[in-house]
Amino acid sequence: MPVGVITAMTMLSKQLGANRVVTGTKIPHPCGDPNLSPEADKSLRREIVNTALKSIQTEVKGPTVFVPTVTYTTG
Amino acid sequence: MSRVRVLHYLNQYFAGIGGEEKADVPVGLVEGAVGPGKRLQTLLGDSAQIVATAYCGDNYFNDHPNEAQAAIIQIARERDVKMLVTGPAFASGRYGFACAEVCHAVSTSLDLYAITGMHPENPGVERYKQYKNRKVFLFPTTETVSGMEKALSIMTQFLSKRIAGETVKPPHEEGYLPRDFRIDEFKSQTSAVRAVNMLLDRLAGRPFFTEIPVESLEPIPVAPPILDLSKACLAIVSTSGVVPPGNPDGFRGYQNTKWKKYSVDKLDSMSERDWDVVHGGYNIQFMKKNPNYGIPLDVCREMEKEGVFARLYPYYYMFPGARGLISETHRIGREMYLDMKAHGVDGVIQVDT
Repeated sequence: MPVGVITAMTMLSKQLGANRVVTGTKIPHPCGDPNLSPEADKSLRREIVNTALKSIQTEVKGPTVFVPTVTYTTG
Repeated sequence: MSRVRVLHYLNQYFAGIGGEEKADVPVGLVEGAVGPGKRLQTLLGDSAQIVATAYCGDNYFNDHPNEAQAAIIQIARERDVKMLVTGPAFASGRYGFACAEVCHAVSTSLDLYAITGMHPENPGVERYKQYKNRKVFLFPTTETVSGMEKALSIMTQFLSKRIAGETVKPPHEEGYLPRDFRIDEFKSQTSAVRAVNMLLDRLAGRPFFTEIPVESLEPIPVAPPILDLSKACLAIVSTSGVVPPGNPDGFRGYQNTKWKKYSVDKLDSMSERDWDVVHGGYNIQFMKKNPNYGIPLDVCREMEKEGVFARLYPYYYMFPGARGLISETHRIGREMYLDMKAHGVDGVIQVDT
C-alpha cells in the first residue's frame, strides 16, 4: 500500500526508509502555515497534500523526496 | 560467609546424558556440578556453590518450552538458588536458544541474576536482545568448545563481582553483549567537550566510541503506485497526536504502544469540532488551533468531492509519535495496515510532526 509521508523532517524520514516523503512546512504544522492568511494557508495545504497524492502515483526505487511547489510561505 | 547458591543448566550432551539420540530427554536433575560445571565450580572457589545442575534435551526444550521452563523454575525455587548459569552453548542453536529462554524465565520468576555464554551469531542472542532483561547477561564465546576455558573465565569474573555486591558496569567494561539499555551516568566532561573530542578523533582517523549507536534498519519494500487515483480509497494516518476532547483512550505524551482510529465522517474540516492534542515532542499550539495541520481533512474533503480520488476513509489513524520505539512502531504500522486493508483502503496520506 503506497504511503505519502508529509513531514518537515524529510531527511530523517528518508534515512529511516520511508519511500515517498513529502516536504512539510514546519514540524508543528506540516500541512500549512499559520502565519499566512486562512486562504493562503489552505491553498498551501492543498498543494502539500496534492504532492503526497502525486507521490503515491509515482513509481520509486527507494526513499524519494517530493517537494511541493510553494509560491509563498513565511518559513 | 555463606556460599551463594547457584543453579547450572546444561543440555543433554554437556550433562553427560548422551548425544543427539538423547535430545528428547525431559528436564532432569543432578546433585552438584556436572561436566563443564565442575570447572566452573573450581573457578568460583568458595564464593559460590553449584548446588545442582538441571539438564534438558535440546529437542525436548524446543518442543515443550513451557513445561521445561516450569520444571527448571521449580528446581531453582526448591533449591533456593540465588544465581543461574546456563551453558555456555557456543554455536549450538537449539541449546543457545534454550539457554536464553531459561535465563529469562528463571530470572523473571525468582528475580535473580542469570548469565549465559554463546557465539554472537547463535540464535539465542536475538532472543536475549528481545527480552532486554536487566538481570540477564550473555557473554560472547568462540564457535566451538575449544573456547570453554575462556568462556567460563569471563562468566566467573562477572559472577564474582555480583557476589561481592559490585554494581554492573557497561557492556564494554564487563564483556557481556549489550541489551541496548540507555542508562544515565555522570561524566567528568560536558557533552559538548566529549562531542568535539569525538569529532576531532574521527577527523584525525583515530578510533572513537559513539555514546549512542544508531540502529541500522532494513529497507522498506517499495509499494507499487496507484494507477488510477480516481478509483482509490485513501486514508489519513498521523503521528501528530490529535485526539477527541478529553483524550478518551488515554494516549501518553511519550512512548505510546497503541494506536486508535477516530471518525471524521460527515466532517468537512477538523475545525468543525473540538480536538485535543497529546504529544510531548513538539509545540502543539498550532495544531490545537487548527488540527487540519496534522489531519488535512479540509483539503482532502474538497478533493474527494471533486473526484480527485474516489473516497476518503471515514476514520483517521492516530499514533502520537513522541519517543516511539521502533520495535513498537513496526508492529503498529503492521496492525494499521491490516485494518486499512480490511476496509478497502488503497493508499495512505501520512502526516508526521
